[in-house]
Amino acid sequence: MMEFGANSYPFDPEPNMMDESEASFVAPPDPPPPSTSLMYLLKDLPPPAQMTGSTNLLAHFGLESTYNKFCGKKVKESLSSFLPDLPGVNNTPGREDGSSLRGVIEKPPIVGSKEIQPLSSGMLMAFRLHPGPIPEQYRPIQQQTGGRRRNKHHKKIRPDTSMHNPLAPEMEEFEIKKHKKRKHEDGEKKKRKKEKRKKKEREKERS
Amino acid sequence: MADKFEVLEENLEQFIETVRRLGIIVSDFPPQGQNVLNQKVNSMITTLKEIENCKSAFADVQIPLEVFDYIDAGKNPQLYTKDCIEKALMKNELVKGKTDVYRKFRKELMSQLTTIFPEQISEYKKIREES
Repeated sequence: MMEFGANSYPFDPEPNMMDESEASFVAPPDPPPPSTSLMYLLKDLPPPAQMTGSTNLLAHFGLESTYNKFCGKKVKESLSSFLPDLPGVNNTPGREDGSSLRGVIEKPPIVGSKEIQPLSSGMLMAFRLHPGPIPEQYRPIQQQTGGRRRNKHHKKIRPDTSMHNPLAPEMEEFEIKKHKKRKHEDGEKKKRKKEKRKKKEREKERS
Repeated sequence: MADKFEVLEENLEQFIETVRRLGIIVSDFPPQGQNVLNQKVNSMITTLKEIENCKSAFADVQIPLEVFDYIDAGKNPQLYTKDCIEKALMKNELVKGKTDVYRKFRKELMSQLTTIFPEQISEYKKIREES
């Protein structure tokens, strides 16, 4: 067994004890008055809490209607059901197409002190396009998925917004052209239906 | 003065609509469409500027970060509210259950102690009544 040398032993085995003659004793505090009670360790009760979990907190804060609204009936799960007027399908996870809101917090956009200003005619030269359609795969999502949502969106547009927008009439022309096409399509459908009806009538007459 | 949320919503709607129309123009670009395109690009920038101007009015608005996870996953953010309420109710019920059980335990303990230590318990009750 290893033994420590007298010098190497770090711990002082004989601490400096004060002589009894030098020690000055502080008078101990007065002992508590002798209690006749046996409950000498009894502590005071904590003050009663005003609001605890034993009460119905939803009712206390008037959130019953909110509970009934969200938990009473089934809430539709998809994001598009919350934003029905938004064109396109937006139920894909944000991380897949880089549109996640968390991403905005994690990598905040660079915001300079420069003010946002409309582009000058010289700058707009960079946006010159050749007439004609673009390949199918690059077309906007809303065109591929159909115009049901888009029509809903038009209903929500306030009348005064078109007043501010000088291009609104021109855009309406675009829309009208498309509607006309649809009308034309509807006409064709009607014709087909009429033909079917006539065929049925002929068959009935023959029979 | 219109509600600040309404103003922002209008601006966002306007922006989305402008971008959508830009998409339509660009997808089948008409021969004389350059002016319309230029105006659309600038109106998009103007709307962006208006959205930027709304920023200061929303400094005091607090949004729980968890709701972003729902939106990023393509879920309805109302599900977050629903989950929060359900969680609150569940915890409320849990705590109520605990307090009820403790109350029953206290009652039982007191009755048992009264039978075994009747003097001490009567003294204890007396002290508690005084305090």
